[in-house]
Amino acid sequence: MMLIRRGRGSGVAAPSGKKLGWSFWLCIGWLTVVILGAIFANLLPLPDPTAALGAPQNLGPSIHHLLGTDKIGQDVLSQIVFGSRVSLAVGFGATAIGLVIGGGLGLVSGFVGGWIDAFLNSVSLIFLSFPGIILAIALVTFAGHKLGVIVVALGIVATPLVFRLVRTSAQSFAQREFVAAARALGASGIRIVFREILPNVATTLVAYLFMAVGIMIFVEAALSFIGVSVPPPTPTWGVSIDQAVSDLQSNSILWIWPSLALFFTILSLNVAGDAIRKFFGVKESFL
Amino acid sequence: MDRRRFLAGGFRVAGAAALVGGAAGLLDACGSSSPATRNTGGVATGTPRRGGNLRIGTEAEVNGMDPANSDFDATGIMYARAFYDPLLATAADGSSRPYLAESVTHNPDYTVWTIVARAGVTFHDGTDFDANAMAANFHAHLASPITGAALDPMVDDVIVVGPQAVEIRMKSPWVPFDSYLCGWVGGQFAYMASPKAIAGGSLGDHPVGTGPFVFGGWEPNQHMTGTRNGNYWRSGMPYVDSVTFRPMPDEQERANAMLAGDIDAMHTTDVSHYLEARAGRGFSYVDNLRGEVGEPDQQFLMVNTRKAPYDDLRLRQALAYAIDTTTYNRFANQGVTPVDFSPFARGTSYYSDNGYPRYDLAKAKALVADYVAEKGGPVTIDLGIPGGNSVNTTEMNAMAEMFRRAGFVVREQQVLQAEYILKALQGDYGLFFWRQFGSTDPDQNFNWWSSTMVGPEGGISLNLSRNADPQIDRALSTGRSDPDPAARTAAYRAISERLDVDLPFLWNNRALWAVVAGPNLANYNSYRLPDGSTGLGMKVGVFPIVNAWLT
Amino acid sequence: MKRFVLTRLAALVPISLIVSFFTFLLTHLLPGNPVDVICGTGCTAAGHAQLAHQMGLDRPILTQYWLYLDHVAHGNLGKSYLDGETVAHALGQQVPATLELVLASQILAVLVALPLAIFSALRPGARFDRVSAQVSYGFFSLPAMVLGVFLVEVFAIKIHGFPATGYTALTANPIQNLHDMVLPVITFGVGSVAIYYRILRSDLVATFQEDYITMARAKGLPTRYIVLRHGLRPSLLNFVTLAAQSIGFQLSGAFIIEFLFQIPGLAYGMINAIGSSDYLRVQGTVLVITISFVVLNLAADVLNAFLDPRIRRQGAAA
Repeated sequence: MMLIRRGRGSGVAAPSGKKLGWSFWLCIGWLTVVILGAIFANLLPLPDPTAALGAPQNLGPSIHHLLGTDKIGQDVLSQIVFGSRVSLAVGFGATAIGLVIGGGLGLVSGFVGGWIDAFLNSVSLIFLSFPGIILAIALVTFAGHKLGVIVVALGIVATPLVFRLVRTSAQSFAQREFVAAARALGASGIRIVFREILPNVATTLVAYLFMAVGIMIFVEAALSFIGVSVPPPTPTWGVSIDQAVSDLQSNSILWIWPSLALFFTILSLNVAGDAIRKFFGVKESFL
Repeated sequence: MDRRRFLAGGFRVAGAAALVGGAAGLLDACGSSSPATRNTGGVATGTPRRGGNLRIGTEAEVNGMDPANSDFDATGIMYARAFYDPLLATAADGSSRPYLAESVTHNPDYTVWTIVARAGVTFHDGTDFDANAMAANFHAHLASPITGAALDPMVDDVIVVGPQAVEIRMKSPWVPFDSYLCGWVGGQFAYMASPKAIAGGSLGDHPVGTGPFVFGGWEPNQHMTGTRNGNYWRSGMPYVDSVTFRPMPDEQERANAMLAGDIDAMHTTDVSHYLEARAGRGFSYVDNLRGEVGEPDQQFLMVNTRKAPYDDLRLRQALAYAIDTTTYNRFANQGVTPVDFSPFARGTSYYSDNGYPRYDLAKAKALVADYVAEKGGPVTIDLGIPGGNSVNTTEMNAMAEMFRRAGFVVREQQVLQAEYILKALQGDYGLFFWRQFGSTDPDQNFNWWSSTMVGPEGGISLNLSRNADPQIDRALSTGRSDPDPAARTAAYRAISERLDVDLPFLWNNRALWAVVAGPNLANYNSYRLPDGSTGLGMKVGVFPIVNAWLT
Repeated sequence: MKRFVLTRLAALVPISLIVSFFTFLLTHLLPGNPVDVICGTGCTAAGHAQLAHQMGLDRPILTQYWLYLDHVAHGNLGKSYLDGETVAHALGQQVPATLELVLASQILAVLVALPLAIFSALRPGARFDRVSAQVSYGFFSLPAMVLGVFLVEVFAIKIHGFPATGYTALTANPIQNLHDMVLPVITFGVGSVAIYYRILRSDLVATFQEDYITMARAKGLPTRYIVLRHGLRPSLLNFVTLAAQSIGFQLSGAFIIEFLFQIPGLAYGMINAIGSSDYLRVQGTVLVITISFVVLNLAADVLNAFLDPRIRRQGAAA
């Protein structure tokens, strides 16, 4: 996150006259609600999400349970609000790992070039050719269903992707005039990387990071849907969807709520990311 | 074989139906949303129709079809009965009747059993079924590292005594041996494979038996197929041209497949998916909610009694007191499954209640406090379920909540199915949700309860809960070797009472086992035996398909 | 050109070696053991040891790896410890299933994305462009399990239009196969629409601003002709790379679809194999996915080289 702030701060000015648009602010609004909800979930007047057997099963919406209760009497809204914690932790955590390791190495690789670049690039190719999500499933299966393991496993998946993005971007900037000028003025390599290249790469990155967070949230939901994520009773959106789906017969609308939460969050990340990309005039390419 | 008639009779007299009746009625009430559903009991009276492909969704995949080297659970038994035949079959009254064997007899002290092969039967590969074939099968089992454990401690030798007859010489009397020869879970040595195929070592992925279907093909995790055996020794059978088994481990997928018409029949142990699936238009069903011949499968929490803190009896009592089975079953099983608090169904002759701890939160809390005062706290327990099935998660959450209320710190874990059994065998668990003990004779649970099967620390232990109780051992030995039905009954009642004291199993509910069939499938629960008697229909999810037809 | 391809192909060997070694190490070092799984509920300690010996799992790990490599070099990927099925046979079943799922869904995605992208690019910023951009994001953000569950509920259970689960091999029954694949392919393809749409659109927008297009328009050539003849060609470059990468990722990303619809593909098989510590199957599958990924990327590079003479020359020089 620090990288992003630096990037903006060092004055990569947004082309004047462009606006982010209302859809961007709508999405940011939703994401803010979700993030604040996750952070302050304990302070909200919600029942304990794991408190089973307390309320009757499959209640409809009421003042005590705004979205009703599920098969074992757990509050659905509370499950969704608390469930966002895992989604956000994995989404931002895995992306952060990818950013720090993949981004850092990509910067070095793209700027320094030579055999270091060749080596790092080959390593990233090997990682890319490894079936990443399956690797993550294997890691979680064996190393334990812990939040940390999932974040790291998905961080490993994200790393080579961020690496390649940053490397390509850094390469293109390393050849630009202002870098050559800085070099001619005798600036050190590190100084050039931090002052000249990083801010420029960061603008490219920021748009894609939003998307990356969305993808990681989706993957975590898919993993918890098949039972390869944090153990119960910690609520997650994937588990909530899975449970609601398996109980369609007695409660046919339950599955809508966690599905909508997941959908709107991923949608918001994508739309916001795209708006930022356009705002900074970053060319579209494949992540 | 009066013993088993006694057992079956005892069941009916005690009227499990009376106790279960209310619950089953409730189930009928909530399942009656579709008036088109027929409760035919899976028995049809019309003229059988030939042809068609029968598609069955099963709850698991098998790890092979070699009776001596694969592990047959309910699904495995279901598959095995398509390609092989068991030597005996269980009749509707619980007795063992001849099936592939012409006869099975024993000497007065049950140490020598003589099995006579049915004449004129050939395996699918043309090999004759005779004494040598039977001997080859038994020798394969005795040599097997996988299935040998069941026979090895008991069988001294298997000797061919005539062209069609073998003698099984026991090390000590084995009274209910015939119940194993009916081929239920734990009795997979009842299924006769071609001696040529045994020698070839290829039975695992290509079963060759005498059964109603000739093996067609197997794509693991996709389907196993069989085509009608035109030379089947039971003339006229089977009625369908082919059978396709499709493993569908996820309850929801299986119910969906049933409702979408992808399969003609399925079995299930989950109440909500059972109700969901059977509501299909024109569907029919069979379940065990009104009672069952022999012992039903039980759902319980298996406790690792050798591991701290579960090795402390106080804590096991606290756990038992903490489980509010009524509430649990209302949430997990829609309140339709009864609780027996015993491996034996309430009201049957082996059932005995010596005061298994019933729900009492105050007592649970007091016991936890007592434990904490002595050994310190908080008390952390591990509760595990097989993962990848959403049904289990809610059940675990409900159970965990009850333990938390008693003062436990509960760690919940989901474990992949294959790993699950493994962890249980190795003792790498605390509390596991478990389903077991369905049998036609309680002796079939010998290995699970005997202290002789408790393995070393960290090693494999067939006695999964690792409970060693000399009184249970003595009772098991009596049950196995005493021909007197009264003595056996007393022995198993003693076991039921000892389990109330030792608490290696914390009972949740009697397991539901149900079969749902689509509108096209008829007579899938009717089992005519060679001697003209009626065979036992669906048990532990295994149902006879040899008499079924597609309309 | 030939040298370019050969160098890339040669790189397959070290990559496969490294990947297979790490997979081997991973499967053997992590907890779980196939012997325990096979031994099952009827096993004794002696039986356990006997099985371990039979399976060669009591030897040092490097010896085991060397033997494995030796077998693979002779075209033998081994047998599943669990059900005795050869890994090659299992893969022979799984690869077509996954490949069909991935290819069909990507083709579907392109078929939807291409016309959308063309119409959007013809008038960038117009209502159609903005709406289809938002809709494509909507598709992209729709989790597969939500869409899949919905489609099954409606089209399999309510209307008996398609099977809810299952898979028939294309070779066994092509009609049934297509019927089985409709719902999974739609579920999987919908997410990819946005990926293709966005790249194609932005490429086309750029292309349409080129001088030669403006010239063609000035000459009064019909729009359809311009789009097909001049507009699409340059965009193919990016598109081919994108498709190859996308397909590569989808090979393992297909797991949720395979899980939902019980399609016995690579990822589904792999998850089963991981759960039962079926080492050889895990190794074989990783090897196949890795090699396909590398080959796909190579194919994309070669195609690009043909499409773009600059790369071809570069490649020849390298």
